[in-house]
This record gives sequence, structure tokens and C-alpha cells, in this order.
Amino acid sequence: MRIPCPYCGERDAHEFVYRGDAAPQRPDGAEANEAAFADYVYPRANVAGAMHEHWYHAQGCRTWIVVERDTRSHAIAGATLAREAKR
Amino acid sequence: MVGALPAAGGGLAVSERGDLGIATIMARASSTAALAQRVAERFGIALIDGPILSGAGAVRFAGTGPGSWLSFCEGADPFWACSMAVQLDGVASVFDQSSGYAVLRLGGAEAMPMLQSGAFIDLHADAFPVGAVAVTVIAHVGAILIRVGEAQFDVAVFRSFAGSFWHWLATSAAARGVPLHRFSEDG
Repeated sequence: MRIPCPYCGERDAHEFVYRGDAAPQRPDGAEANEAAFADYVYPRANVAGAMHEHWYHAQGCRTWIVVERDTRSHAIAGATLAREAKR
Repeated sequence: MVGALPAAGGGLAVSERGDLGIATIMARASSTAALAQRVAERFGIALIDGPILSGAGAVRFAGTGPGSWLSFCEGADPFWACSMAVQLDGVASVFDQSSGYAVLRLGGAEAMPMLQSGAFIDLHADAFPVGAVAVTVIAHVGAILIRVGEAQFDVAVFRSFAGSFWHWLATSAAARGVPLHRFSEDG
């Protein structure tokens, strides 16, 4: 699988570290209760189709990117730097 | 002298660039534009935030990630990285890597095919022209590739991995039947 790093260009998947779903948002530590943190840390949707994922380009530009990948076909629709991805 | 590297015929010429000062330059948060301005003022270099080599003189900046560069200085004194930190004070963090990286210069007709056999990126001149930079892996060793000429590449690896990289280089060259010419800095 080739991943289109926004900085480096297309690279082999073995240069990256997979983190998972990019959707969960970290709750405000001062405000949130345990249940909100448990919800943020543990439950994950088992998406069949397009999803946004965090990948870390460990053997390249050493930045986090958000990749839109179809989990059924591995087709990748695009990637952006996580720091620039829309929240 | 690296510049006087003899033509390697059909082989591969390898020399270590031992005279380099090396430092990582990382722009402070939201300071990439300010850093580019400072670099333009102090070094007369148009700093590009991308996988490209900026500068053509003794000091050069190789883009290694968003807002980060590996900078090189030929014939640097031991305090060069400190002076860079002073020059870029407030807009970037500077870390001395002069003893952290080993830089090999690969030249000759076999330099590109050899590196292509190890790196999973397209090194054809159309995709990786002179001045292009890539942070990638060769034989599981992190390597920074810079195309410094049509058939000349600089390869920076962490110094403690230099022996492993050399093993890959020598073994692969032998497997491909490529004569490997090794030069020292003083010829």
C-alpha cells in the first residue's frame, strides 16, 4: 500500500505507524468525567468503507497525517497534515 | 576533496563528507515565515518549506519535514551549530548533529541504480531532480537522500548506523557486480 504523504509524496506503508480513527476528539481534561474519557479512549467504530485515520510518518517527515482510506479496498482518497486537518 | 571525486566509470564512487557541520533547524510554532525571512537576511537563501535543497553556497538547508530542515556547512568549525542557534534565535530551534549523522557522497553511473535498489521511491531525474531531498529508509536504516548532481547523491544516516548502511552498500554493489571505488577526503 502506498500512502500519499502531503510533504514527502507517495511512500510505502512500511514507513508509517498506524494509530487509527482520526474522529475521536480528546475531551477537556478539566471538564470531562470518566465516562467521557472512556468513550474517547476505548470504543471504536468498525467502519466498512471510507474513514479518516491518523498515520505517523515515522521513517519520513516525522509528522502526523490524516489519511482518508476505504477499509474495504484500501483505496486512498487523500491525505493532509494532521496539524492542518479540519477539526 | 569531494569535488574532485574521479569519474567512476561504470562503477560506484563513495566518499565520506567528513568536513561538514550538520544541524537540525526546526521552526518555532507559527514561525516558518519569520525563519525564512531571517535565513534570507543572514544567508541570502530563499528557504523552501518542502523536500528540496535550499542554498547553493557553503551553507545549505535540506527540507526534512514541515517546518524542519537539516542544514549543512562545508568546512564548519566546531562551534558552527552554536552560531546558527544565535543567528536563528527566537524563530527556530537548532540542534548540533555534526557527530550525529554520517554523510556519504555516492557518484558514478551506478549511484542512482544502486540507491534505487534500496529506496522505495522513484529516483528517476523526472521525479527526483537535482536538489530533491527525501527522508526514507534503505535496508531498514533511516536515510536522508539529496540529489546533488545528475549522478551524485549525498546520503545522511545516523552515524551509529553507518556501518550497517555500508554493509548494505558493499553487499548490494557486489551482488549487482558493481565495482565500488572508495575515496578518502584527502584523495
